[in-house]
Amino acid sequence: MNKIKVIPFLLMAAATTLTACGNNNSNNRQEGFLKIVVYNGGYGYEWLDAISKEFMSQTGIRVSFDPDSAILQKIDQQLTGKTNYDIFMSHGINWQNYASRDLLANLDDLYDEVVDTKTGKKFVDRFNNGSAELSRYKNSNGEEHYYKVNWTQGAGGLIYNVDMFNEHGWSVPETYDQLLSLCEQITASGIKPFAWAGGGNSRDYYWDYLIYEWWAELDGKDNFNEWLTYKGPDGTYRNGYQNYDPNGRGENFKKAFGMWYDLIAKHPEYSNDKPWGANLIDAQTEFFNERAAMIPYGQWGKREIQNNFGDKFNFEVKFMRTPKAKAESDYYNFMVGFGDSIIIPENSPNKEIAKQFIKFLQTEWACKKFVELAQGPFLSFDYSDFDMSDLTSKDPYIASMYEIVSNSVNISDATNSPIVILNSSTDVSPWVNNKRYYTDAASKPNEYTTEKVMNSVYDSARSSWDKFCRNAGLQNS
Amino acid sequence: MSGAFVKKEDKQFEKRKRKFPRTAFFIILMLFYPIFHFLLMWFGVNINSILLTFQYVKPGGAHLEWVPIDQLFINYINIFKDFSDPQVSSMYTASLVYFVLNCLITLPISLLFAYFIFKKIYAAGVFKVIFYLPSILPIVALTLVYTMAFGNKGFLTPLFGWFGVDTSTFFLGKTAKWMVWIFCFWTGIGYNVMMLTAGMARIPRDILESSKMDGVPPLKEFIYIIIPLTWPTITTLFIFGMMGVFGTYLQPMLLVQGQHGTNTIGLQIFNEANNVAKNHPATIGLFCTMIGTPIVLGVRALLNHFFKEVNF
Repeated sequence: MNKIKVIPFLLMAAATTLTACGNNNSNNRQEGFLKIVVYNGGYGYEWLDAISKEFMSQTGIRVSFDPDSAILQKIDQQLTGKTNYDIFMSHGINWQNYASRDLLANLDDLYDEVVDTKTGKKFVDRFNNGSAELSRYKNSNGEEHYYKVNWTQGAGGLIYNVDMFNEHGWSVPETYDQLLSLCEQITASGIKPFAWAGGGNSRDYYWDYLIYEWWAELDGKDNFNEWLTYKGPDGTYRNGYQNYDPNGRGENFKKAFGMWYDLIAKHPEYSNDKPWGANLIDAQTEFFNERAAMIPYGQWGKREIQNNFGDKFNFEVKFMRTPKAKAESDYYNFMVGFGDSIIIPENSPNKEIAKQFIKFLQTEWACKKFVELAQGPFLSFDYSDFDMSDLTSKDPYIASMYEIVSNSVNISDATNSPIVILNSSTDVSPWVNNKRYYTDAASKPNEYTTEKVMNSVYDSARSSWDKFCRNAGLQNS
Repeated sequence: MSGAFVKKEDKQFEKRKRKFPRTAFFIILMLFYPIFHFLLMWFGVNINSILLTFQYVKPGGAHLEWVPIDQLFINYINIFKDFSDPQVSSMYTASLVYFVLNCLITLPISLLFAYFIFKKIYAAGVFKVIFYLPSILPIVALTLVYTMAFGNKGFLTPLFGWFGVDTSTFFLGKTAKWMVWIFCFWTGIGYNVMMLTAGMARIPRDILESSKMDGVPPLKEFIYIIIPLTWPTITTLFIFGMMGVFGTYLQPMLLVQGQHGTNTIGLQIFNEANNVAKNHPATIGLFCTMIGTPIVLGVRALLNHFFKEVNF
């Protein structure tokens, strides 16, 4: 009798244990109900809410979305197991890896679809700056297809206080030399030219944006893009470390860093107090409270700073076109986050309506709604055919961003080089082993000179390159 | 008479026979969880890591595949090749420092503090709380408090300022690793003190009273009575300290993002875990396990030989 009582109890206990160990993803996905996950970061998700609602009203397809800042930790499991979502939108998605494992939906038909019946424009024609080409990769059979859609584009550089500039009669600098003179003027007024953060959760890498722009300008766009293949001068990956040679292919990278060094490291009076120890909030406070005239940032800067203070700026802000290294050059713009991705998992039960939603994103209404609600960034589509005057007349920040994106030589560090894909992008791109020198150089300029920093980067590249190649299966390539 | 006896024996045998399955059932039930746990949580979890060490990224590929049989140990060979990279050798050196810090500095000092507390020095209870407090707080909160105290414009900045010391570069350059080590010492000592005072509290009072009556001075009491009688706890803490060589990663990550020569084996594995080439961190992990396990077991056996185990 007792045994009979014990057996069901044990079965129940075993069932409980096994249930706990199994897939807790017990919700059955509904066909025809689109679920999206979006990275919860600087762009917010109000834009997705608005676009989803409009899409629902136009198509009758139900859409829900989750903003999630831990999306990258979950994505692998989602793609290899049972996915909760039909669309993923985030930075840092290692989509090439997933494409090569056949975990992503083939988007060839979407790219081939006509999106404008009047002009016959296809989806593929809605991109510029080479973003469609960057969205192709080989699957496990070696066949190349489109596997992602570029998500955003924008600018990296300096945000400035327009009212302060007007009040003091300062002109927006067009060249690096003018920037140097401007900094002298600003300092003479008792204001710090720059507020930046090198401590805490360091944002010193915001300086990268200016340096990349100067570097690409000095190198030329083609050479810069060639550099991003991470192949050496002989066309082999195994000699890719030679790209960092400060007296060879890395010369212009060195020059660009040198420009930063001369501007910031040599002039501590141009920055907030001890920026190498300041955290992002410290830097934002300096700018928000008008103790600094400029702050290095990306396109999400205005929204993020306002959100952090829970208040709007008391002054007008704009994004500055990064002053040119040479007066005769074009303006260059580093598109921060240009490699960010929109993907559809192969295991999604709603691939077709997911494609329909992505197709809807490229419409004028959706593109403009994104700019309006994300407050600055642009979707990665061509905006040249759109009338943006309603937005640009309302918001000078958006106007400045539009001007930069539309009238600059746009560059990015997005690449399909196996060296980057198969290592961490921060290992090689271009600060080797993720070691930047802004804080070192600013706090100890005599110890960390441009020469020393660039030699150090080259030494690190040389010594770690074999490992990077081995990780990428390229030791003999 | 004899027939009745046989019947009685038979009954007892039957009873025992009936009892046997119950005992067996009990044993099986008791063993079920540890065996299940071992299979699922050790074998099930680690088998993938072991298999990863026999995979690689094929030239031209973007995902892991099995290594060809003629290159079966290629990942292990690459681990040795990695040593030629100064970044890698610096990582191993930085990790080994935690053996010195945990076992040869923090543990002996903890032992002394634990003894003072055990001897009920003035405000011993308060010190006990002060020591233990860092051990019960989450490490994220502790690193935040620590950087807020010693970082740029930290609340200790004015204090250091009186002595002409600039705190803004504490977490940069050569001082960064010292800041991480001091943090590890600060947070590690509390746990050790707690464990050691608990171990000392088990020492029978009559032994201590007898030594007191014999006029044994405190230093001799500490060396000849306290240390031998708390040796099992010391051994355990020593082993934990050794494992810090492979396991320390949160402190350098949260304080200085693993920069300025603070990268450790654990942090490197953590950072590489999101890469496609997971074979590399998996091989580092298995390589370290293969090196570390015999050393840890050897040290444990050696330490157990120092003093005879005493039961009390």
